This record gives sequence, structure tokens and C-alpha cells, in this order.
Amino acid sequence: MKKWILLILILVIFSGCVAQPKVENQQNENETIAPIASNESGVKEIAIDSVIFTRTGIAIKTTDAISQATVTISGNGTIIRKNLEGTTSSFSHDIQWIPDTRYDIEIVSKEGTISLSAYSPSRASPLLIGEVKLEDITPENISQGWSNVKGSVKFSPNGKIIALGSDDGFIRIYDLQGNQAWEKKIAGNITTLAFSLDSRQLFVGERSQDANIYSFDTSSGEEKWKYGAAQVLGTDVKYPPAISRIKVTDNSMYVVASRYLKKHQYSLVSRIYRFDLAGNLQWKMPPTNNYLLSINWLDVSKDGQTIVYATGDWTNSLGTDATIYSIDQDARQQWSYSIKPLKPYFTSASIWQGIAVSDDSITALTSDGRAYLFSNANVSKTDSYEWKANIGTPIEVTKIPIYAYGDSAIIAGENVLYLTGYTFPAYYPNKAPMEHPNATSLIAYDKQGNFSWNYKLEGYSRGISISRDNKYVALAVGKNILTKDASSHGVYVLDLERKGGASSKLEWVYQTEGVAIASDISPEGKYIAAIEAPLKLESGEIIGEHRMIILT
Amino acid sequence: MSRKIIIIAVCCLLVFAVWSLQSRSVTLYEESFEGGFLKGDIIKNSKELVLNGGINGEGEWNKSIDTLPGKLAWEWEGKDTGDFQFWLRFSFNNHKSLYYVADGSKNPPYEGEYYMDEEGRRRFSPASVISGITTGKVERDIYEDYGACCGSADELKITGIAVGMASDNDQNELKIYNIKIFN
Repeated sequence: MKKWILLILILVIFSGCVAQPKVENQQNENETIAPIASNESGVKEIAIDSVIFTRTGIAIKTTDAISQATVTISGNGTIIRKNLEGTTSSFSHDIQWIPDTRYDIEIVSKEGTISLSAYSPSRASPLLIGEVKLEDITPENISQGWSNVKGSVKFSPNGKIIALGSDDGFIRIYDLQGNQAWEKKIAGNITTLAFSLDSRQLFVGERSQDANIYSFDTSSGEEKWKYGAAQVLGTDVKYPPAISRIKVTDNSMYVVASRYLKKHQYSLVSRIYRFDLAGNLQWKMPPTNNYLLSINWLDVSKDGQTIVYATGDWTNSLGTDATIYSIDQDARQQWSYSIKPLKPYFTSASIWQGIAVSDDSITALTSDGRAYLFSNANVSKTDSYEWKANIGTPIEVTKIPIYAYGDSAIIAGENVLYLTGYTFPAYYPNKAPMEHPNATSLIAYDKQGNFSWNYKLEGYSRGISISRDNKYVALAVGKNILTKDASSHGVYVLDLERKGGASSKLEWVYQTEGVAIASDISPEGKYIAAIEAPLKLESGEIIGEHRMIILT
Repeated sequence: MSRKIIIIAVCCLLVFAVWSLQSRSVTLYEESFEGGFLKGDIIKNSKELVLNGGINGEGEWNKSIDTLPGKLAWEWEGKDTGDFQFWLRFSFNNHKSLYYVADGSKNPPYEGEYYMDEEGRRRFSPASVISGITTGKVERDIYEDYGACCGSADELKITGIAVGMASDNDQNELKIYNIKIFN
């Protein structure tokens, strides 16, 4: 036994010797770090750990929890006082701070009083406030031109809950801290999510042989109704139909359902539906037969009076136009406008998510990169657009025409925003020798057709989300199949009201290691939720993880 | 000594040995202010940077470094007597930068980093700012701070360090020393 004790003592002494701090860089001094300062009584003093100016307020963290606290922030002639409930060490004040202004902060709590001051910066910083690890999935592949990882995230209109939909059929509801309220599993792949305007119903679209639209009670998760679009659209085991868009108004919802078949050649089928919020079908468009073309997207004006969508041929094999339709809520056509294929590069024209309506204007971005703005009042008289711009249309590089895929469009106040995707050759079997200058970009025009700015995202973003006041734009940025640059992955936020060019409007970037595949901004603009997915690099290494992050 | 007591003593010693091995920090980087670029009224004074004050005294020091992130400690002294600026910046290998700004300090005159991307385009990477850092001895965790307000810290390296100081009061001596990164 004595030998054992001796051995242990030697081990203890030896461990002390080998574990001396060592300098791994060019320095050579060793010193352990002293503990946090204590007051004379030996009780740990609570201090401010950090003050971060976020886009919509000031976030404060203390070194330890405080209780029964009153926080007062004064600056720029205003005083805001807030009582904190319970015990906490992280809290925030909603305040529209003015850049480069002094704000004095006083925290009076049961544990004592803390005072400090901080000057607001010129730009806000992002702050991660929630993280939810999600189930393991097959990673996205950097070498593939398509995406095998999909997901949807959506804030409720009241800004209090977040819905998450996964490709493997999980629907989950979270609060703003990332605490899960409920979870459901449906049979199909979730393709789209939308809330009723009162935030009480969640509508879910799927890709499956039934192509169901579901309604769930957001508080309980109870399924209220469902409708199978396949019953009029038809179905196929290999090529199941899908719901690609749900847009909700105060008393109704509009749905796009479509499918395609590839046998000897492509064939396309699509339809528009209107339901009331109880799930009763109001009408189908066309009323009797399906469109034998693709429809991918629709938009509805804020007053609910104008619904716009476009038929086309994304397969570029049927020799068809892209036709934009404006209809009223009773499916009466107001006007239509056909966009011819961009020859000699393409045999057909189509529109992906590039159609949007405001109260007076409609914009369309074709997949081949042509942008149009229409006046809703003028089209039927003039049978023409107000202006047109070539955004991603083909340019020839070493005799190979390349184009930037036209992805999405929105009208945000006086800004018309277009989002482009990857560079592709126009058309296969060529390979793009370089990136199109406007590929993977967010491009802004004013309503008069003047170019405003172009923000190069470097990676692909699957859609634009914008705050209700049209101030903040959030984008989830993922892989770039040409440059393979992983450093651009993340969540990007732009402030459209900030003066200057695209770089000036960039408020912040929160980087993700994997690809950011979806994001949404809460209606008031305070929160952003995004989904990150792992990415397999050419080396075989997998970076990133499947998770949802909540930022402010 | 009973056998039971000996066994308990041995177990305690073992636990202590393991704790001893795990609790020691390894210094990744320690700043002595040798090298780097100094401008303005800051002076180097035996392993510390000092702004001696004087009306509108101000200055900056910056240096390229190459180290992994980790925990971070430094000591700084000075008071907010009006036109006061005191900050510490870390730049990273992805063009991001993170500022620690002292309690009462005005903000650095930089909003981020401009750089040229691989295609030769001018790009901008906004900085993140953590304000309200009390003077005295400070301990932070760069991974934690970066993860909270910049993003994923995987593959992250620190490529630059900078200090900014300004004061309009000649009785207000600003100094920073003992900057260390360790894990």
C-alpha cells in the first residue's frame, strides 16, 4: 500500500511539472490568470459583461444573475425604464438608438447598483439569442449543381412563434428563445409554410403523392383540415406533385400546386387554388382543366384585390412563353402579358419565384434574367410594361453564353429587389467558364427603372425576406458551386433605409460554417431565424451542422 | 492508518492529480508591444501602451499576428473624462473584426474592413462591437463572443490586434498591458 501511495504522490508532483503553462507562440512568459475581482467581503461583484447595440435595441449581459432589477437607459433626450421579472443575466431594451450617441445605463437590483455608459456604434451588431440542434441529415454537396437539403422557416404575423418545416416531414413550433412548443410529422416533404394573419393557423404544403395542404392549430398542433391537390392535379410515384407556394390574406389563402413528368420528354401540370381559412375550396384556376405549363409562385397585393402568377416552362423544352396573369379575388382576369423566349439561347421562358405585386405595381424576373415592371392600371390599356432591365441575361465568354439565373423578386416601398442565382451556361452541354457578373446577387432598382445598387452575395440564396416596414432585408446564403467559397455562408441583413450603395446598406453578416438554406425576419424586424445545414466539401470533409439559429 | 482511510486518500489524490492536469491554462499568445505600427500620441513603456493625455491626445497601435483564438485577458486603466476613447480590436482570417470598447468610451472610427475578393471586387465586412467593458482586469472568451455576435468560429484564426486611445484630459493616463490569449 505504501508503494501505491508513493506512486500517486509522484504522479501528482509530476503532473504539476508537466502542466506548467507553455507559450505556443513567440512569447515566453508564463502566468496563470487571476480570478475575477472580488469586493472586500469576498463576495463576487456583479458587473456588466457586455453591451451590444442590436438593430432594434440594446442588449445587456451581466457577469452574474441579478434579480428584481430596474434597468434605466437614458440618451438622446429620452429615458427608458424597464423592470425585469425574476432572475436573469441577459436582457434587452427596445430602443431606436441614434448612432454615435452616449447612452447611460443604470441597473438597480437586489444585488446592488451598476452604472456605465456606452456610445452607440454606426452599425448594429448581430446577437445570437437561440440555437436549436436539428436531426442528422445527408449533407449538402458542394460539387452538385442542385440542392439536396431543404427546409422552411417562418415567423408568425404576431412575431411570437417560429415554424420550422423539414424535408423529412417534421413540423415544429418554437418560441423566440428556441423552446419547442410542439412537433408533428407528415408523410411528405415540407415545401412551404404560411400562417394565418391572426397567427392561429399554420398552413403547410408538401411534396407527396397526395400533395396535401394542411392546416394546424398553432397553439395545440391539432390538425384542423387538409386538402389533397393531387385529386385534380394527378399524381405519379416517381414524380410526385408539390405545393410550391401558399399566400394568405385576411379571409382566404391562395395555393400553387404543380408537378412534372419526364418520360420521352417533359410534361408539366399546374393549378392555382383559393380556399377560405376553414379549408373550403372557393375556386380553381383554370376552372376545369389544369395548365399544361409550370407555375411556381404567386403573390397577392396587400388589399387582397390583385393576385399575380405566371405560367411558363422551366424545362426549356416545350417552346412556350412565360405569361403573367393578374386576376381578382374571384378569379376574373384583369390582364395577361406574354414574355417570349430569349432566343437564340432559350426555347422557352419561365419565372421561378420572380413575381411580386405591390398596390400599384407588378414586377417579374424571368429565369433567364430579364426584369420587368408593370403598372397594374396601365397594362390593360398599353399592353406593355413600364420598364425592362437585363439583369442576368446571357453574356458570351470565350464564345460560351452564360447567364445568372433569375430567382426571386419583391417590391419593397420604392425599391424593387431582384435576387439572382448561380451562373449557368445558356445552354447545356457547355460549362460556365466563369461567373456571370450579376450571379448570386441582390440587385435594386427604383420604381422608375433606375439601377440603385447591387450587393454580391457570393453564395446562393433561396429567397428574400423583408420586415413589414420594408426597412430590413434578410438573406440566407449558401454554397457557390462555381467558386466553392465557404466563407460567404451565413445570414446577411441589409438596411434599405441606410444611405449609400450596397456596402453601406449591409448592416451585418452572421457567418455559418455550413450552408444557410432558409431564413425569415419577424414582421417588426427584430428577430431573424435561419436554418444551417452541413456541407460536404470536395475533399470529403463535412463542415457545419443542421440547426436553427435565432438572431436579433 | 486503516485501509479504508488510505483508499479514500488515494482517491482524493487521484482526483487532485486529474484536476491539476486539466486546470492549467496554455498561453497561445502574449503581447509585449514589440513591433507593429504606432501612430499618434501613444508611447510604448515597458510592455505597456500608454497615452499620457494632453489636450486632444490620441493614437493607435496595430500589429499583424497569427494565433488561434481562445480565452482572452488584458488590463487597462483610464477614465471617461469627456472626449474619451479606448478600445481593443481583434481581426480574423475571414475579414471579420471584433471590438471591445471600454465603459464610457466613444466608438472607434471604423465600421469594418474593406478588402478585395478573389475576383478583384471591393468588399466590405462590418465589424461587431461589444461595448461597456469595465476598466481594470478583463477576462473574455473569444469563441463565446465571436459565436454570439459574429458567427461560427470554426477554422478561425486571429490575424491582427489593435488598440485605440484618446483623451482630452492631461490628468487621465490611459494604459493597456498584459494582453494574453490562452486556453
